[in-house]
Amino acid sequence: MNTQTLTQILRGAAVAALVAAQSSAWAIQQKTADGRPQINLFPTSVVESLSEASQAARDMETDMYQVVAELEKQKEVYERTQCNGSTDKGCTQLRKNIRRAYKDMLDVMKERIPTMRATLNNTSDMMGTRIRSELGRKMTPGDIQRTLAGRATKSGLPTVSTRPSARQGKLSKMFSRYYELVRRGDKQGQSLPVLASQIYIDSMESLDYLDLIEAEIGSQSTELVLELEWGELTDQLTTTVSEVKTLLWGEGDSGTEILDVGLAEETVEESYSDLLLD
Amino acid sequence: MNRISQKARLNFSGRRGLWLAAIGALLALSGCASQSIDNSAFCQFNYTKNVDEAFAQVSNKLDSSACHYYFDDYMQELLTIAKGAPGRDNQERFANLLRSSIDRGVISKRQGQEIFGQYFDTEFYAVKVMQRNNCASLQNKPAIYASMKRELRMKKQGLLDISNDAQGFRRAQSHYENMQHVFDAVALACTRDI
Repeated sequence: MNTQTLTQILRGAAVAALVAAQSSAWAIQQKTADGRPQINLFPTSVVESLSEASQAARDMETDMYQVVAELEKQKEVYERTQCNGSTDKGCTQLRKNIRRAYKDMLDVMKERIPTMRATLNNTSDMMGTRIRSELGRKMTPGDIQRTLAGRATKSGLPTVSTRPSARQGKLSKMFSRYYELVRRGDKQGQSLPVLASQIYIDSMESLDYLDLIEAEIGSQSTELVLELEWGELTDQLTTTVSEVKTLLWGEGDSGTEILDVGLAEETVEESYSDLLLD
Repeated sequence: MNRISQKARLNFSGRRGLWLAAIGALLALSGCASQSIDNSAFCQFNYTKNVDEAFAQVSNKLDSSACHYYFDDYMQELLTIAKGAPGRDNQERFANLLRSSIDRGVISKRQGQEIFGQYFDTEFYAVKVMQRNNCASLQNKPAIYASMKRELRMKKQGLLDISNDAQGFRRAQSHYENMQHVFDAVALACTRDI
C-alpha cells in the first residue's frame, strides 16, 4: 500500500467519524423541551450526499475551467477584431478555434453531466424526503415560525437568517458551504429549515440547468458544429456557454449571504405575552 | 240593555287599550330614536392630534356599552393619530387599550390577540392560527401568502410607523421571507413524487 492510498483511507475515515459525530450532535440538539415534534433534517445520509455533491461539482469545474476560459478568450478576440461577417483567413481560423473549444466543452459536459446529475438527484431526493416528512408532516406552519424565531426549544439565542433570492455562486463552493453549515449546525439550529429549503431548492435549480444544458448539447451534434466552420457563430452557442457558466460559477459570490444564516440576534418581547399567541 | 252597555263598555275599554298601546309604542320608538341619536353623537370620535388625549377619549367612550359598536373605527383613528407621534410608548398604549377592551367585554381575548399580533408582533398571527400540518395547510399557499402580505403591511404600520421599531420590522420582514422560502420548499416536497 503506497503513502497516497494510505492518506486517502485515513482522510475517508476522518470524514466518516466527523459525520457520525455531527449526526449524533444533531439528534441531541433537535430534541424539543416542550414536547413539540423532534425534527432531524440532516441525518448522516444527507450530510454525505452534500459532501458528494460538492466533490462532483468540484471535479466538473476543474475539467471545465480551462476549456471555458479558452473559449471566452477566443470569443473576446473574435469580437475585438470585428470578425463578425468577415471572410478573412484569420477570422475563419478564429471561428474554427472557437468551435473546437466549444466542442471540447460539450464533450466534457457530456462526460460529467451523468455523475453530476446522479449526485444532485440523490441530494434533492433525500432532502425532499426529509423536508416532506420532518417539516411537511410533523409540523404546522406555526411550528416552522416558532423554529425560525428560535422559540421552539425555549433555549439558546433566537436568530434571524437571510435568504439569497436565487442560486448564485460557484456550484462546488455552494455545496461545500452547505456541507460546512450542516456540519457546524450547533450555532444555527433555528435556521435549519431555511438551510434545508435552500439546499433542496438549489439542487432542484441546478438540476434544471443540467436539463437545459443537456437539451442544448443534444440538439448540437458534433458534425453540425464542425460543418458550420465557415458560417457565423450562432446564438445557440452563446446561450449554451452562458448556461454552463451560470451553472458552474453563478452570477456572483453569495458566500456572505449564506453564511449570515443564523448569526444575527433577536430580543424576546415578554411584556405582551398576554396579547401574543404562542 | 245592561248586556249591551256592558258590551259597549268593554269595546270602548278595548279600543282605549289599543290606542294606549299604540301611543306607548310610538313614544318608545321616538325615545329609542332620540337615545340612538344621543349615543351616536356621544360615541362620535372628536379628532385630536394628541395621542394621550385620543386614547383617553376612546377609553372613556368605551365605558358606555352603546359605543362598543364603534371599536373598529376607534382603532383606525388611533392608528392614524399614533403615526403622527411614533414611539415605543404607542405599543404600550395600544396594549393597555386592548386589555381594558377585553376586560370590558368590548372584544374577545382572541380578537385582542389578533389585533395586537397583526400590528405589533414580529411573528405572523395568520401563520400561528393554522392548525393542520404543513403538507395540508400549504395546499392553499396563495391564500396564506396573501394573508401574510396583508399582515406585513399592518406590521409596517404598527412596528415601523407607529412604534418606530425598525429592527422589529426588519425581523418581521425576515420571518416573512424565510417562511415563504421554507413553505415553497415544503410545498414542493409535499407534492413531488420522490
